[in-house]
Amino acid sequence: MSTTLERWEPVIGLEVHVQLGTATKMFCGCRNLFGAPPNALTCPVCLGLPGALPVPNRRAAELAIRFGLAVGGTIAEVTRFDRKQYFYPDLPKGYQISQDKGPIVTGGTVTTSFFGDGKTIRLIRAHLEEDAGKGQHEESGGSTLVDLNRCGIPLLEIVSAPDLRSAEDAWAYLNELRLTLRTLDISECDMEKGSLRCDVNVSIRPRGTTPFGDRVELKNLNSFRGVERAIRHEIERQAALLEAGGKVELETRLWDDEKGESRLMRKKESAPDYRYFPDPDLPPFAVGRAWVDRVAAEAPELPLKRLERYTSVYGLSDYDAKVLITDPSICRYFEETTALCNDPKNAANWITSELFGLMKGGVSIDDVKVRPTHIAELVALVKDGTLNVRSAREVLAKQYEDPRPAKEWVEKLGLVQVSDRDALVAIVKKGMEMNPKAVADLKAGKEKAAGAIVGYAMKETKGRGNPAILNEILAELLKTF
Amino acid sequence: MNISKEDVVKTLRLARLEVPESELPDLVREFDSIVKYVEAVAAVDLRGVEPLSHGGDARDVFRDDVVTPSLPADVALGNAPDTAGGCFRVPRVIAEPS
Ligand SMILES: [Zn+2]
Repeated sequence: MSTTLERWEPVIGLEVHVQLGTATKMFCGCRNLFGAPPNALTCPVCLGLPGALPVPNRRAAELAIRFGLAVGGTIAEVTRFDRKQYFYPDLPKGYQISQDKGPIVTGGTVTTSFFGDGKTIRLIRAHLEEDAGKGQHEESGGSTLVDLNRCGIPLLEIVSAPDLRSAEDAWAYLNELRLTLRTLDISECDMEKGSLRCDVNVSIRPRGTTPFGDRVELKNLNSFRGVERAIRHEIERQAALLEAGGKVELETRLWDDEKGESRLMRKKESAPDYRYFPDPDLPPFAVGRAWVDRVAAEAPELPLKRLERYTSVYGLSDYDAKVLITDPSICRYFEETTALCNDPKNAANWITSELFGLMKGGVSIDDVKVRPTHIAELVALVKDGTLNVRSAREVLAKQYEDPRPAKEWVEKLGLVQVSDRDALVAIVKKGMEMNPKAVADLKAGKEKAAGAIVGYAMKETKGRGNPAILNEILAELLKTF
Repeated sequence: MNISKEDVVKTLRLARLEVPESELPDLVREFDSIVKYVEAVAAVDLRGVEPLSHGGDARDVFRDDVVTPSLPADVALGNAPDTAGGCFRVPRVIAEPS
């Protein structure tokens, strides 16, 4: 018996909504902020009061253009806003301002270079719109409580072509898209805070055939892994239906991640009729060449460009560079450290092997008390011979709890590296006398035997011996021993 | 175009308006006469004329991304028929949004 995926080929497309990282909402000056007390961030415009007029946020348009340029899409020369009408309590105007006919970005691609196998996924479009408020159904009483703080926050809706062929593809695409959006400071893309939301369209067709099957839209996806699970489940559900002689209905389903199953939300016949038309309150706007050039000039570096710079200019390994780049806050931390110590290789090392080793249980680097200044100081102290690596590690562990400057810890712990040659010569001599076998091995060319003697010297100096000088002394003494 | 009773019922449903069955015939007639009135425009020959999306001359109107004061929450909720816990309290709508 072949597996489902051997018989059927999934065809998947994603619609991703991201909240743009502006200071204010899309059409009014209310703060774009998560977590304020309910209805503390509203005004006549975002409350949809009669007579209030929306004025678009230039920054939101610029972030959309920045995205369009990053994915190689086409920026519309003239674009406009349309009204998308539906009735729901979280939408006080009775319509959402969106872009139907003239999206600000069309086309473009996302390539899964960091999270997948390098597949290129085409984008259909990306358009600006405003977020709705948040409704919460009361447990008893059958009412809904509405908080309009989120109402009017700028959104970019990014629609992919149905180019994805597996749940893993979808996961990689989402991660790649988030990396681009976060690296370019377009959106925080935090699914838990709702600044990234995603709907999925799934259909299947017999392997080796080209026509698309009827597709099902999945909603209520709360994590990237949840998206993967929902897609896997939907592929199996559709395959089971078709193999039992049934047919897939065009419908929208809600995913329940806890139960690992989906339920019907609505059939196609009851799909809403949005009655789009151009919003008369908002004149069209032209995105001239000069504006696009300005946005391009101020855009941060793209992840792939950064990878190239880290490997070729900084000399980092591909692996290390990717570890840094795939988390923009770690990347920022690394850049700051490098700017201070001018030693990217050691900075990367101290962050990815030593600092990461201390960070446990999903701690974010932004919350760590050890700051780039601390790492840069340690790199410098090791370089100038004040500390050996082992002592520097000890200082870092202390700083992780109590971030006082390294020099204070060095003094407190008595860690200044012993580089006093005479003292070290005496210790190495003693080590050689105590380890005649190691000396004989060394003379026979077994370099590893040095470990016993250097180890002894390190123990004698409580780990503070300068290993380079110790090795030098040992080599010298061996000639006459 | 002729407006049917179904058109009126659909329009009322989209606007979440409830109208007694007895008033529907009047509405059908009134809708129909409004649409016919506007349809007179269709007689104009528009070949070669670009569709217009906006009547005014305004273009490229933007605001800077600068915070302006929001309303105090109690003022924002001031006209609401019902509130609870700092929120607008409204009848539950079953159909999901977009
Ligand atoms: Zn507002």
